[in-house]
Amino acid sequence: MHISLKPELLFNLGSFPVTNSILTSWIGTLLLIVIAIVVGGNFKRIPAGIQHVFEMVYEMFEGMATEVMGAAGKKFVPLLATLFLFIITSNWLGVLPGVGSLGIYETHAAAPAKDTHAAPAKDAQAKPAAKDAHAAPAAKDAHAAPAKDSHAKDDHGPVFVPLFRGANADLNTTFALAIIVMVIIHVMGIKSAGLSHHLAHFKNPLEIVSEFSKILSFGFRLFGNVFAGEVLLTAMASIFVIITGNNLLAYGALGGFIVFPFLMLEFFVGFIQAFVFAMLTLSFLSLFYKTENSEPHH
Amino acid sequence: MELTQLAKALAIGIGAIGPGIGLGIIGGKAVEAVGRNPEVTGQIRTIMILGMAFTEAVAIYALVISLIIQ
Repeated sequence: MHISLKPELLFNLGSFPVTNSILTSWIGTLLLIVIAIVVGGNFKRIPAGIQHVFEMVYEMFEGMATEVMGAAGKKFVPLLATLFLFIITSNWLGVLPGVGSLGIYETHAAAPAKDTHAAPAKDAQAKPAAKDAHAAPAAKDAHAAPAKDSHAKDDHGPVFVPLFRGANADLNTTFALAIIVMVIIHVMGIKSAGLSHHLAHFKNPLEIVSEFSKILSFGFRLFGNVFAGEVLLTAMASIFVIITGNNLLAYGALGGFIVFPFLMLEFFVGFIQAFVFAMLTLSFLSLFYKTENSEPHH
Repeated sequence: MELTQLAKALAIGIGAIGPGIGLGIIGGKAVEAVGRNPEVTGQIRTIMILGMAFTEAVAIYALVISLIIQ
């Protein structure tokens, strides 16, 4: 059982490092694009099949947006639905079996790549450098692996690099989403109320701090929930390792049996977090977006 | 090494106290509300789950910190 806070580097595309989490997010995006083409291509007046699901999502956010912001809220339904669909797709792809467990063993001279999460997770892009720089504390990092028994060779042998990793189990993705959302919120605030009116919100310097803390809480909430879910699944799958020992069949059977309800829980959490992200976006938008009849409410 | 492990345990252990109390309050109040008017059970459940997600996030922050501690 090894837990890596940051994504692993798979290969470089020119100078652009491709990590396993970005690969998963590309797969999710591709999936959404294909579904969008299929559903949008033969759009019917009377919905059938998968069109139902997307109309349901759209109507859910349309109802919510008009409830919070009035008729002006309809403008933001595409944004909210996009955020929701992207996050829920990434979350659900992340709990599929094979994500995190399917991978390759890489051999490096300086091997402790998986345990060097001392570096902030945002530094993932600087990974090749970090790999070499952390060659020295290799021995110190050995204690970070809780289950040393079967992974003792990891300290200098080949490193396990998962091919896929839930896109939102990576701080880069969640902070990117958070920053996108906060920029949109402020741009829309300035566009609707004018710069001077928008800046009037920030007479108290504490308000500026709270804007940055919103980014932090957006990013950490999503990352924490998804990442903690993966850790939970890993921990639950290996909870019987003392009984089963090296018997892989018993390990798989017992682990699968125990992990099943938690998998269901993770699907639920994935939905809830996507919904919460979109709803928070909407409620923060409504704080700054000025509509004609919004004055009596606030 | 032992101190690091202690720090990890304390971070999530202490950090889980507040959200635990909060979740208990949310669940209890939701049950009270359902007991008072059962016809809005669906709405109460939605609000309760949302509130729980926000409260749980506080514990998740502590968990992130405890995972970051090296």
